[in-house]
Amino acid sequence: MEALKNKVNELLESGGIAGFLGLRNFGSEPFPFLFTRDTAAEVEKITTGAVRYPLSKILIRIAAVYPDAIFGIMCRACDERAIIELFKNTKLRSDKVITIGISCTDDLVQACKCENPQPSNLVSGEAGKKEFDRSDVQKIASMTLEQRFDFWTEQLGKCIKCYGCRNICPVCFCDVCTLEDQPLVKRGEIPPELPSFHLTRAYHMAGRCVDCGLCEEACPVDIPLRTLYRRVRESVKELLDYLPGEERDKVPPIQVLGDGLFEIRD
Amino acid sequence: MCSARVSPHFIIRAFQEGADGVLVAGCHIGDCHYLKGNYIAIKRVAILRDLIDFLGISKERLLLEWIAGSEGDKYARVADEFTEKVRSLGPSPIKRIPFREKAVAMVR
Repeated sequence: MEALKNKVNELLESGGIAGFLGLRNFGSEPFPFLFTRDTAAEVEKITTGAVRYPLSKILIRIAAVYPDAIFGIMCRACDERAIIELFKNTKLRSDKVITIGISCTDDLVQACKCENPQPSNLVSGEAGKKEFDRSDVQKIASMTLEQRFDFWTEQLGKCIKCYGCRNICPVCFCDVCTLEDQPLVKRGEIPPELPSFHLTRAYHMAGRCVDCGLCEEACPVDIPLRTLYRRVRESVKELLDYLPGEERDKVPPIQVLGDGLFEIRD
Repeated sequence: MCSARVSPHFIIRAFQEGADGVLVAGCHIGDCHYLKGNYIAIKRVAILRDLIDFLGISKERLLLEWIAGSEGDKYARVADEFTEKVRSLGPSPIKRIPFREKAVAMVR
């Protein structure tokens, strides 16, 4: 934590950044806070928190108001993957964002079953061990079609259409959302149409999902959303050789018409 | 209509309305009037096929074929074959979701 405080103070004092978006303790609870030179005294109360928070989503809003300012942001490995995708989608500019990496506690890495808990610019803490586990995807993939359909019908049928998964998603940034488009999604219908509502959202995660798992954490009815989007992430890797958030210099294949030859395969 | 205009939402909507199968036909790669429209079509369909299969709707219910405007015989053959294929798969599982009735019953 001291290393993080020193780094933030140093960057603020040198004018390297106009502000640092991180977490600050209010009482015993961590909340997002923008540390600036005017509020430098607050850096004492900086915290990394035991839970995760999609800070990059807040930074999009701040950066839109101050397009020329450089901001620092506290980021875990999953945040960094999201930020890389936001660079590619021109929601943030790579020359205007300085990531300050923090490590996750072993408990958190384990709880997240994180595939890569190591951010590139690690300032605070030690890099955690990988705890990757894709048994959730395998379990569903090994079911028969009919079992899969019944499983998802039951799970998605719990949906209360709170939009929590979309709202917390660090790579959901559109101003106009398909899921609120009247012809596609009827208002006042709970659960939403099965499976089109979640199928639509899952498709939109293709080439974007960074497997942070915040959607599943936010879901009030415990739909295994991360498993669904993880499968989409894997599909894109298998079919188009693109892993969102991992490949800084690669163009997302869904966002370009593409080149090379394609054969239809089964 | 260019196959790039076939948004995944159209395909999802067709399945939701009860379609047992969806055939997307486009011009051959290299033959696109808009140069690269069919490149994006194949990427979308490939991902969507994987996705519906994971949700329990057989990927064989969604087919993409390259059929040029002059290939009337191919169009007829592909449509026939796909119809037979879908018939052998039976009705779409989406038709047996009793969700509207269930939801209404829960509210009452």
